[in-house]
Amino acid sequence: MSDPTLLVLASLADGEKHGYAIMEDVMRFADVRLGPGTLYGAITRLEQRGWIRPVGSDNRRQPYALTAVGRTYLEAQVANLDRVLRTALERLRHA
Amino acid sequence: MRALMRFAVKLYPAAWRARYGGEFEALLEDIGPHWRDVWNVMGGALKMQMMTWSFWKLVPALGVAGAIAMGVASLMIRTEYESSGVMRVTPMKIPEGETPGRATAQHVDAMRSKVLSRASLLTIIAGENLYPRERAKTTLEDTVDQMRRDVQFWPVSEHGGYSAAFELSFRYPDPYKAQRVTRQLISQMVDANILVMMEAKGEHSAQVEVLDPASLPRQAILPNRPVMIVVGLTAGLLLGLAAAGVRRWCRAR
Repeated sequence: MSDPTLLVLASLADGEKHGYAIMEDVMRFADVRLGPGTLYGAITRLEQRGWIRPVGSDNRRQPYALTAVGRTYLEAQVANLDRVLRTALERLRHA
Repeated sequence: MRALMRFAVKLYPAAWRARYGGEFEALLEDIGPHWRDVWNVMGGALKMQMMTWSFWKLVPALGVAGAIAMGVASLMIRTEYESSGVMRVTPMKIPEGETPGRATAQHVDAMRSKVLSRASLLTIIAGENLYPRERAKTTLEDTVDQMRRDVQFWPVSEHGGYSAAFELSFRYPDPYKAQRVTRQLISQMVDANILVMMEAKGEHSAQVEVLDPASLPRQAILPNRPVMIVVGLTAGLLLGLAAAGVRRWCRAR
């Protein structure tokens, strides 16, 4: 799974984070390095769609948080992925 | 590296930089400059520009970019001039059991083989100092093959009887050399006719006439810059339409 928008949503699922923290987090849990251009391309799209929102910050590092719509979208995507993974795992066991 | 990264950030649309510029620069400071990030930021800027340009800006911009790219490419193509002359071969005596049309075609083929022989072409190449770059880089055989590709024979039209008229042409970057070489090739075709008749030992013969002598080309035939620019413009416009379609699809997702 390497869709940057999904990775950013997954990173924000446990709380707000700024750009660098998202990059580090995604590297840790998905072993994917999001370049700065890729990360901010995803952040721009996600904010335009209303799936994330900026939260108050006292410095230049702008944290983002999931919106309710973003959380619903992420839950739906995760459920889909979960179904695919379970099916694949099941078939591998019986192959 | 930092200057390059700052330049890459400036490639983003102004409206985007006004909204995200400060935090984006803070992120770049945090991660430290790296080549792969410079390319990533440049790619991101290009995508963002494509996403923010209106349809009426995106499509013409890609059209102009395509035209410029093909214009630049046309400057890299070797300029070629083509000199040509027209000859006619009329059979005088046909071998027994041979049809006149086939005899003429065989006669012309035999003449052409002699003119395009390695020895014949090497004499012209050395005499006119043709293909100096190719000779410096490749073998003589490759240069001879190149010249064979630059010499063309085209049938002109069907004349009355069994004569065969054809155009002989030669392409070269120098128009004067192109004309001189074409003149030599035509002269060699006349000589080749005599040789072919001698080898046939009187079984068949033909008369060769030069209808049009070797021309001096006034205009280059390659590259055709106007056509290339129009092709680039059209391709760019089509690419712009495709990009606008993809962008619309991405936004709808």
